[in-house]
Amino acid sequence: MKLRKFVSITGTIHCESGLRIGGTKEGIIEPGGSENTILRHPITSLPYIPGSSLKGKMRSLLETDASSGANIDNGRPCGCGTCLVCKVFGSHGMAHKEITRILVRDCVITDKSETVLRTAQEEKGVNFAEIKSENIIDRKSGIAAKGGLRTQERVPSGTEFSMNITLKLFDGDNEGQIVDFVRKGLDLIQKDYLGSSGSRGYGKIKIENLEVNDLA
Amino acid sequence: MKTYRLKIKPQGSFLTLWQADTVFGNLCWIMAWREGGDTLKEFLAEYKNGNPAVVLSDGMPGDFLPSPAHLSLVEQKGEGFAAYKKAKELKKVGWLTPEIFQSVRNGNLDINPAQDAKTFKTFITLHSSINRISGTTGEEGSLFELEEHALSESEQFISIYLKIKDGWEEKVFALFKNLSLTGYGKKKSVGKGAFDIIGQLELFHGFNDFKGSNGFMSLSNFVPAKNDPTDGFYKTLVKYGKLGGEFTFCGKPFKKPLMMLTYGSSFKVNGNIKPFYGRMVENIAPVKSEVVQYGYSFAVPVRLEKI
Ligand SMILES: [Zn+2]
Repeated sequence: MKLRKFVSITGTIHCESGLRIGGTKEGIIEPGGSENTILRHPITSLPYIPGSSLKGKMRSLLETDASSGANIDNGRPCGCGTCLVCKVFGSHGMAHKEITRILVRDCVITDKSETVLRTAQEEKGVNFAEIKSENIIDRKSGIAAKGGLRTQERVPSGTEFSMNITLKLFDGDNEGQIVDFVRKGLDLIQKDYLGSSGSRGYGKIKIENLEVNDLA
Repeated sequence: MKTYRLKIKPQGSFLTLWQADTVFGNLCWIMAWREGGDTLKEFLAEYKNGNPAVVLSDGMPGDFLPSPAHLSLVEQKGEGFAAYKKAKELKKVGWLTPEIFQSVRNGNLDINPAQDAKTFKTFITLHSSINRISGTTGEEGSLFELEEHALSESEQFISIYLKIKDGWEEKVFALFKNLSLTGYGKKKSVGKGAFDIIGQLELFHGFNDFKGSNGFMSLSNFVPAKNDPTDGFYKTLVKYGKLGGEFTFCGKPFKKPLMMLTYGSSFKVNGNIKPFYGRMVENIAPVKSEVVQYGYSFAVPVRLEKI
C-alpha cells in the first residue's frame, strides 16, 4: 500500500440549538453542579466535540443510507470490509480489514466562542454551558411528576467549534468518491443531530466555511 | 551522530504513551506507506546490524528529564530515619528540572527536587457506539471505557530527544511531519494522539559527555544487547506489544511479551560511553517473522558513585 497524499477537510461547526455530549462520572468532570454534565476537555476544562462523536455519527448515518452498501442487520457497525463505509471509516469485523482512511480530530471551541463564553462566565456565572431543566409530565394528572425534574448541561446555541478531518489516500483510492462520501456524512449530520436528545431539539448543527485542501 | 530535540504539542489526550519503541514503530509504518516495504527493510537491516540511523528517547514532559534509578538507592546507604525518609521521598520523584538533572548527572545526589512536578495525567473516559437500528447509544454491551493520558496544563509540549546519523535529519523530520498528519497510537481515527510539531529539529547540547563520567543513563525503555554493561540500577516493564498498520489485521496481531529495562536505568561503563546501547529484538511476532521490536537505549553520560 502506497500512501499518496493527505487531504484535509476543515470547517466551523455552528450550534443552532443547545448541544449535549455527556461527560463521564470519573476523571474529567468536576464534582457538584449539574448531575448530567457535558464532556469537558481534560486539560482546558472547555467543552469540546470529541472526534469519536463526530466520526461515529457520520458513520452510523452513512451506514443507514441506502447507497452505502453497508450491512447493519444487527444494529452494530458494518464489518464487511468491502463497502465504502468500511473502507473510509475502518471495518469493524476481523475479516477483510482496511486501513482507516479518515481521521477526525477533536473539535475545539473557537477563539471567538471561547471569548463570548468566558465573558458570560465572568458576568453571569455561566460555566461554558447552560443548565436546562426538564420535567416529566405525569400522564394522568397532566402536571409535572414528583421527582421528574432533571437538569442537563448543554453547550449554548451559537457556540462554534473548529472541525478538522484528515483523509489518507492510498494508490488506487478514488479521491473524489471518498471526499464526496465524507461531505455526504457531514451533510447527513446537519439534517439529523449531534450528541444526545436530538428528538427534543438538541444538537442541531450547521457546518460553515467547509474547505477541502491537499496537505502533502 | 548529533543530538536533537523535537517538540510536540498534543492537541488533546492520547491512549498510547510516548515510548521510544512505539514511536519508532509508528514511524516505520509511515516509511512503508510512503516509500514502500523495501525501503523499510533496508532501513531496519541497519538497525539489526547495530547501526541505527536514529535513536529516540521516550517522550518527556516539557523540559523535564527522568530521575535516574540509582538516585534513591544512594540515600538508603546512609543511616537512620532521616536517610530512610529522604530515600523514600526520592523514590517518588519521577521528573527533574534540567538544572537538577545536570547536577545529578555530575554525581551530585544531594538534591531537593519538587515532589509535585505535574507532568502527565491519566483518566478514564466512557464511550458507547450508536445502534444502527434505534439510532441511540448507551444500550447494554455498547459501553466501554478507555484509559487516556494527557499532558498537564503546566506543560506546553512533549520533548523527544533524537540521536541522528549525519544526513538523516531531513528524512527523520519528514517522517515525524507525516506522523503528525496521521496521528499517533491507538484510536487515531478519532483524533486520539493528534499532535502538532513545534518548530524544527533543534540541536541539543545538554547530554554532552564530561570529564569524570563513568556510566550512562537511558532516556528510553530498552533491551540490553549481549555485550552491554551489566553493573547498574534499573527497573523493568513487560511490554505486551501489538502489530501496527495492515499487520493489525493478520488475525494474530499480538507480539510475544517482552521484558524491557525502563528509562532512568543507569549502568557503569568501563571506558568510552557509547551514544546508544540495546538492540533490535527479532522473532517477536509469531505470525509475522519479519517484524522486529525496537529496543535501543538513548544513552546519556552520567557519573555514578560507588553504591
Ligand atoms: Zn462494510
